[in-house]
Amino acid sequence: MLEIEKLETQAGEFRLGGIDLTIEQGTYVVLLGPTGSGKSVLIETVCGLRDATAGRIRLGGLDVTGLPPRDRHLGYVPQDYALFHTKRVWANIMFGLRARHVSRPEAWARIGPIVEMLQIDRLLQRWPATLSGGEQQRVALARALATDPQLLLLDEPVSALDEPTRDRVCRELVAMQRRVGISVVHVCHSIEEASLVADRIGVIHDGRLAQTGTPDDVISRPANRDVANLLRLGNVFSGRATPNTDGSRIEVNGLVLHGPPAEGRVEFIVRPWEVDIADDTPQAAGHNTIGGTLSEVITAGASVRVRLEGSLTLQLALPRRAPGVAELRTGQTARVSFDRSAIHILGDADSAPSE
Amino acid sequence: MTDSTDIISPEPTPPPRRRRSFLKGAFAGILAIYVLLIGGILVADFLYVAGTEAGHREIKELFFTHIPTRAERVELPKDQQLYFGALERRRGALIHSVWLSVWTSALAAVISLVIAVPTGYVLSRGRFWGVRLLDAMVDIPIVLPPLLFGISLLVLFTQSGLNKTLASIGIRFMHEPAGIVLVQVLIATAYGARMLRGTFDSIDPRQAAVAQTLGCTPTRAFFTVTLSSARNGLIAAIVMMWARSLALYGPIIAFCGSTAMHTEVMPTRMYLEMSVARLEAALLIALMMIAMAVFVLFVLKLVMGRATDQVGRMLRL
Repeated sequence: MLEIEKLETQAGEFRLGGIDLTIEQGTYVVLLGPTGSGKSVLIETVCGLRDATAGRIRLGGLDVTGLPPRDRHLGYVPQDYALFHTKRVWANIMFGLRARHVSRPEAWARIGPIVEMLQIDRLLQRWPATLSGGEQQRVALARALATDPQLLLLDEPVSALDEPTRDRVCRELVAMQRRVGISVVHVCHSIEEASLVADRIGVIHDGRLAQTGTPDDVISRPANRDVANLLRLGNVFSGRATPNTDGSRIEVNGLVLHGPPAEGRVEFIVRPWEVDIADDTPQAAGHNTIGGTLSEVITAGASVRVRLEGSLTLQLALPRRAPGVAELRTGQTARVSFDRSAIHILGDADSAPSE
Repeated sequence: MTDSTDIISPEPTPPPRRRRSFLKGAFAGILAIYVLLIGGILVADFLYVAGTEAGHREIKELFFTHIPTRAERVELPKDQQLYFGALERRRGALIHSVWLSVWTSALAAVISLVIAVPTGYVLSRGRFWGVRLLDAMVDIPIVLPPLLFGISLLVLFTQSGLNKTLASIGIRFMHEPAGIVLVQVLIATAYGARMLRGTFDSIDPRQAAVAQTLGCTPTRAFFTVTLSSARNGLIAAIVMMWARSLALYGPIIAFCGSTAMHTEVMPTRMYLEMSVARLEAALLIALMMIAMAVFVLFVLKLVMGRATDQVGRMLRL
């Protein structure tokens, strides 16, 4: 559907380099990256609003790299939606059709199903400035969908909304995408938002595509330290690994951990959700146990976030109803344990993106 | 059965009175002083013209006195012939100056708008080397004393041979009404461009970007989205440019002179009346200019509201 091949572009001092990305028909892809990483530059280049300095963009097999935005048949919803404030909602939605010289009666007929699907029929006579954030977002979406685009590009579509609305709108976006069957590229900088909507995630860092994969792939196996930091996983460490029969021994801060196969200087994460409070039962071989003081115990919804200060500073994400979790208090000493499979060895930040 | 008087409701406690903001009060006071000053000036002008004998005479002579035709005047005594002759010339010169002011300032405002829109847009969105220098240069007509601008224009036309070159192909600016429009355009455009730059700065460029993805060329996107969003700025700019053009006199006198029935506009006529101590005549012109300004502001607000949309429709956008 969308094939991006070695795409490069320049935006002032910022350079987006060597992006290779393929998006299959009907998939919902999230481009995840910190502010200034080049996500918006990438989708503006795909839209044709910026010129590519190298590489190719193909849409449905057609090379659109040199085509102006109007000939790419894309739907684009920018940050803050950029609704036309001097036009009523209906005029905003049918703008694309009118620009393509579709008669007004036909334009009305064509926007009907979209208006119905997004439940904005009661907003049609309103001015954009009188709409709430969620309503503006739906109008912008309707405007983008009205021209029946091949691909929908959403640049931080929910960043202007409050958190409960954001979750609801994210679910609506996925429902809309499934119903229409369109491919969507959604830009954001929050892994929580990405996990809500994405079939696949592409992580962009410093103008490069650092990793692509399913949300579970990216969260469980971040490609490198940059990705791990972006996902706010915590528990990123450096150590020296020596291979052994079961995997490796990793020396870190004077501790020896049992880890997966690795050798030499390594950076790794300990997945917070795979660390448990240790009980008195003997630990299986290959299990790691660390003692320390709990410096933070925060209940956040269904989970409890715990921070253990010991030889290593570890973050834990414990299920709230797990045994013993309710008794945890800040300042108490505790022992935590995790299996070698909880350790994930990170790759080099300069290496090619991994799946 | 419960009597309504049985229900004892406590007296509602009045909410504590909010202290009035000092800042709001101070701002309102400053605004009031400023508006009163302007209002006072207008009232004083009006009272002087309407309330003094000289003012009465001026109004009566210019607007209500019947001037006999030349054939009728032959029958009159010599002093009355001279009086009516002079009055006819004064009335003719006044009407001419009003008409000249109206069409030159209107034409200048339109031409200025045509120049100020792209200038303001480039200054706002331009990301090229030298844009700041251009920005500073556009401000020159604002910072330069207008009279000096007229003199500089005179020097340019006479010293560079531009006047002769243009005259050889039949285009004359110096001492011609076209020169008045030129002076007005050069000065008024700077004000309009400055205002429109601010307007374009406040319009999200992504609106035009979205319009392009929806099927517009960059030109269509500019007219249908950017210019449409700039509607209020356009109204303000055209009003400002028209008012600036209407009020100019120093550079017009310097570049075009002030020849009655030819290059004499209302402000130059007012200035010349002042210079011969005919205050009532000068103030009468001032009041006429105020009336024109109020009328034009009203009409512009009515017309310009939909003007940009109409441009869009005309271009089938």
